[in-house]
Formats: sequence, C-alpha cells, structure tokens
Amino acid sequence: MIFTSIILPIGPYHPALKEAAFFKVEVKGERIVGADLKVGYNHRGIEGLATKKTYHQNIFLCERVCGICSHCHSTCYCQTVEDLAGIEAPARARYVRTIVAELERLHSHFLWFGVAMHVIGYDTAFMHMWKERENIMQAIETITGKRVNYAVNTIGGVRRDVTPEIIPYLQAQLVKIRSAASKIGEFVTEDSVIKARAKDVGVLDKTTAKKMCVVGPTARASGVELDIRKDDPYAAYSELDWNIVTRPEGDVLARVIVRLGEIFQSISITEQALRNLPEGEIALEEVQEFPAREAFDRVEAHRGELVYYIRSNGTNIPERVKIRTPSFMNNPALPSMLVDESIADVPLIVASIDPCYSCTDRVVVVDIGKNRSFTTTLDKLARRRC
Amino acid sequence: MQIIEILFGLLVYPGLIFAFLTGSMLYWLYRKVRARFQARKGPPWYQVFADVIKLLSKETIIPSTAGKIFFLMAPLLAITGCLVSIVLLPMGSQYPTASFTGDLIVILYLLTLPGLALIIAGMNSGSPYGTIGATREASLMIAYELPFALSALTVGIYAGTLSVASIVQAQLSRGAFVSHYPLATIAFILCMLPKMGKRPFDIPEAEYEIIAGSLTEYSGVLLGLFEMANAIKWFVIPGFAVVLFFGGSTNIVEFLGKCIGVTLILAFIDILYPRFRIDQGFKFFLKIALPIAIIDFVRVLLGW
Repeated sequence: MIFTSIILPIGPYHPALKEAAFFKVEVKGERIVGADLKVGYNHRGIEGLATKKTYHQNIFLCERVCGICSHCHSTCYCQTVEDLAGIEAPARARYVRTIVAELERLHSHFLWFGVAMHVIGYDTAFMHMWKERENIMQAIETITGKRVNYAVNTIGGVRRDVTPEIIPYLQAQLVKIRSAASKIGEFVTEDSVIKARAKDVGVLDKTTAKKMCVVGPTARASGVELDIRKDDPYAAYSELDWNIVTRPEGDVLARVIVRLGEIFQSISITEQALRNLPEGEIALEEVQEFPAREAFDRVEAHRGELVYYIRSNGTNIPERVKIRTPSFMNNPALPSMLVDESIADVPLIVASIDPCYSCTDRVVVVDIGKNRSFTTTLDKLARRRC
Repeated sequence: MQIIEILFGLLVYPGLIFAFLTGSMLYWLYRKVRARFQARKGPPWYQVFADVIKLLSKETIIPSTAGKIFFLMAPLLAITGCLVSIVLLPMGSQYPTASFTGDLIVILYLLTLPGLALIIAGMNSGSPYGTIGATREASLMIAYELPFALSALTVGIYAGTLSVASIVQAQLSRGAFVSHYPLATIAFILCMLPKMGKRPFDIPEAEYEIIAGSLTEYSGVLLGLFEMANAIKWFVIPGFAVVLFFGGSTNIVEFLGKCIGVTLILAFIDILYPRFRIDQGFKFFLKIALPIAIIDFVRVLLGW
C-alpha cells in the first residue's frame, strides 16, 4: 500500500457524536488499523452531588443523569432506596413503572433507529421514524405530563396514576406504534443497501462480548442471553409474558434486529400491563427512616444493565451513591469492533451500541510531566494537593 | 464587439447572475421536495441567497497548515468551470453564446473542474477530513467520469458531430435522444449524482463520517464561493443533460421546464436511497453504470 497511516480524530466534537467523546482512529487509506477511545469531556460530578442532597431530592438528580433513560435511573434509584428502607412499592405502582419504562424503551429504540438511518445517509427514513416516535412521546406525555424527565417515580411508589380514562387512548397509540414498527421491520430487513451497509460490519463475537462484559442489546446481539428483566425481575416483569430477543451474529445488522424484536416485546408488555393493571394504592406513606446499611439494585435500561449502589449512615442524606451505567460497559468494546473496518463504518458501529458518554464520565487526571493519565477517586485527588 | 458579448454572456446572461439565480431556485426546489417527502417544512425560497450573503460577510480563516495558493484557487476553479461551460451550452435557442467545433469535449472537461476543485481544496486544507474527502472524490471520479463521457459521446457520434449546437439541431429534426438511447441517458443521470454530490453517492462529503470532507476547513468568503459554485452546478449539469438527451429547447421557458424535470429526477433518487460506502459506490459505477453506457456506445458504433 502506498498509503501511510494517518490519525483521524473523531471527536471531541464531531457530527457523528451527540456528546463529547474522542475516538483516535488510525487509518491507512480507508481502512482502520488502530482505535482508541477517550471519554471525560462531560464530567458533571453527579455521584458527588448525590451525597449532598437528601434521599427525596436525589430522585430528581438521578432522573437527570440521562435524558433518554431518565425513567430507568429514577426507577433504579427508588428501588435501591426501597431496599434500603425495607419497603416494597404497591402492585399498581409497579405496573405503572413498567408501563412508563417500556414506553420509554420504545421511544429510545425508535430514536436509535432514526439516528442509525441518519448515519448511513438515509434521511427520509430518519425523519419518518422520528415522526412515528412522536406517537410514543404523546402517550408518555398523557401518562406523566412530561416528555423528558417524567418525574413519575417516588420512593415507595409512583406520583401519577394511569387513570381508566386514558387507557383507551394509550391502546390506540400502541396500535399505531405497532404498525409503524412493522413498517420499519419490513424495510430494515429487506432493503438491500441497508443490508450491504450493516451486515458483517463491526462484529463482536460471543467470547469477546463476554470478556468485555458488554450488556443490553449489544450483548444480546452477540448471542449472550442477558436481560435483567428476566434474570433479576423487578417492577411487574415477572408477572407478564415476554421473551428475550437474541441473535448469534454479533454484527450491526444483528443489533438492529435485536432492537426491532425488543420494540415488539415492549409493545406487548405495555399492552399486557395496561390490561392487567391491578387496583389499589399507587404509593406508600412517605418514608422517613433510612437505616444505616447498604443496598444494591439493578434494572434493564435501554442500553443494558444499570446498577445503583447506595450506602446509608442513618441520616436523611446518603453517604455514597454509586451509579454504573450500561454505556460504561459497552464503550470499551468499541475499539475492538472498529479495527479492520472502513472509515465509513465508524459512525454506524459507534451508533450501533447506542453509546451515551456524559453518564459514563469519570474524573481523569492527566499527568503531563510523566505523560500518563489515570482515573482517580475524589479522596485521593483531595490528598494530592498539587 | 464579440468579446463584449461573450463577457456579457459570462457574467450576466446566461452566465454568473442568471445561472446563480436559476441554479439557486433549482437547488431550493430540490431541498423543498426533499423536505416535503420527509414530512418537514423545508427552507424558504431565498435560503441559498441568505446563506451566500451571510458567508460573504463573514471572516475567512485560512488554516496555518493549508497550502495557501491552491486553497484560495480551488473555489474560483469550481466557479470558472461551471460558468465557461454555461456559455458553451445552447439554452433558450439553438445557438450558444460562444461555440466552435468540438465544444462537447471542452464541456466534458470543464465539468470535471468542480470535482477537481474539491480534490485540490481537500488536499491543500491540511486537515485529515479534507484529505480523506479528496481521496474519496478522486476514486469516485475515476469510476464515474468514464460512463459520463461515454454516454455523452454516444449522442455525439449518433448526431455525427462534436458541436453541442449541432446535437441540439439533430434532436429537433430526429426527436430527443432519450428515446433513441435510453440506456446512455440512464448512465448519464447516474453519473450526474456524484457530480452533484447527491445520495447515494455523496460519499466525499458524508457529514457523519468526515464532517464536510474537502470543505471542512473552508469558511467565510471562500465557502460562500463554493456555495455559489454549487448553486450554479444545479443549473449547468441538469442543463447539459437537457441539451444532450432531452431535446434541447427553442425558448428559455422550455429549457427551464426541462431542467426542473431533471432536477426532480435527481431529487427523487436522492430521497429514496441511503449512502453507499466508497467501495460499494465505486463498484456500482464499474458494474452497472459503465456496462449500460458501453451497450449504447456499441449500439451507436454499429449503427443499430
């Protein structure tokens, strides 16, 4: 080859990235020979902030960790605090949580489909998918009164009920969403150009997927059957009938098909939950006592397993809130997927794991003198005094 | 006197001012149709003018790593190529502003200038995005120029002349060449897509992969000039197709009507397809566009 390799910076600011991250991609001609990922441009100090606020204030903070998985974060936080306080949300609240969570998963997957189409230059499909997504947003708005950061969870239940008046409307919206999803399925699986762009691209085989500990749709598309909704059921998932969607191939097309399957599963879960909505209270009395112990809980966010760990010291302010978001597990698998592909596939592969950067950012110390960078804790940083 | 006429032709009608105005309108038409098909509202009719005026009033930044002379020359080269070929195109009458025997070949060369300008711009902008955009444009050019020239020569041979004016006259007596050589027409329209930088062949400026490709480092006046060249391209390349394949015209209204028709064809293809990868795009031209261009070329040589 007459080409010498050049470094192509993708990011920190790049049209392919919705948030700041830095992919150092080494290319020879159009082929990628090396890749590295650097995050840390958007550190917001959420975990530190969470130890300055009361348990109830933290609901609103955790909801704002991510715009798209906001309900997952607040559900996971509330479940962890409920474990800590030794209470359980009433049945109706668990169903409402399930309904909102699945509608949110639907809107996230539709949004992802639109972005993926935009990445391969299919703007017409992108616009129409976002138009269909509007139906889901309206359904969510009807239940919660909001389009982003739904504020529907509270410790020991939910704040807003799914009233009998809005159920027919929600069911009508679900019918619309189902027909839109079948249309998407038709052309995503049949269009030859989409196949040519997505098949055998960015392959992550099962062994590497397990070694990299990837989670969510990324893992399921590599044949790893991993879904917290089945493995460690929360909310109402154990009482409803649904399946885990997996594919063995591990390429971008497999991730597309897994998400497509999940769209249909989510519609079915929501319909069942609306049909079987139990009667009763939607929230317990406000919790005042938080015994000094620790709790751990996890939910299946749209991108994978989301983990919260909280340690209490008996006051109304948590001593430690640890958040481990799914992208934190999925992002490190990206460089290995990128090597040996062409530049044109970088945005598609990056988009295929649906990455989220701001929720994964940690403090990175760059020691210019010794030319090294490492992640550190706040305590060590405070002790360094340099 | 002839020089004044040619200068008028170059700068006012049908050159710079007229071509920019009509080209912007055709470009706007494409954007509006595209927007309506995508359930969007689309830009207002003056969007291109607003963009150009804004860009011309902005500061121009030349990167320190750029090759200055070529960096500055590239947009001028793009505009020049389009303008000179407009003077050679017969529009609104059977006779172009300036003509000579063999001007078909000259127009084919002049129309490669906008693409060449992008390669020069990308290579001299001192940015990796520009370099990759330029290499993509260059490899795509190798693929599409051959079927483009072959299908243009097909009608030249059929009309027995390499003068564009005579090709138009031949079509007036024998009917539009699209009916005689449909495959050459299809190959020509396919090759127009990468020339205009439209899907599925907008690979050199795929914004998701390499930002704006060759134009990444351009700003201010220089980018404004590229925008103008782009708008003029929306008039001259469909115009060239009208002259060669769709029967030319006897008056300007007919000519513009046919240009709108060609623009709509381009717009529909652009709406319906996602972007190819560079290797797929390259193969597409060698495997599909080139063979169908060759079929009609052989047909015209054998006189079928």
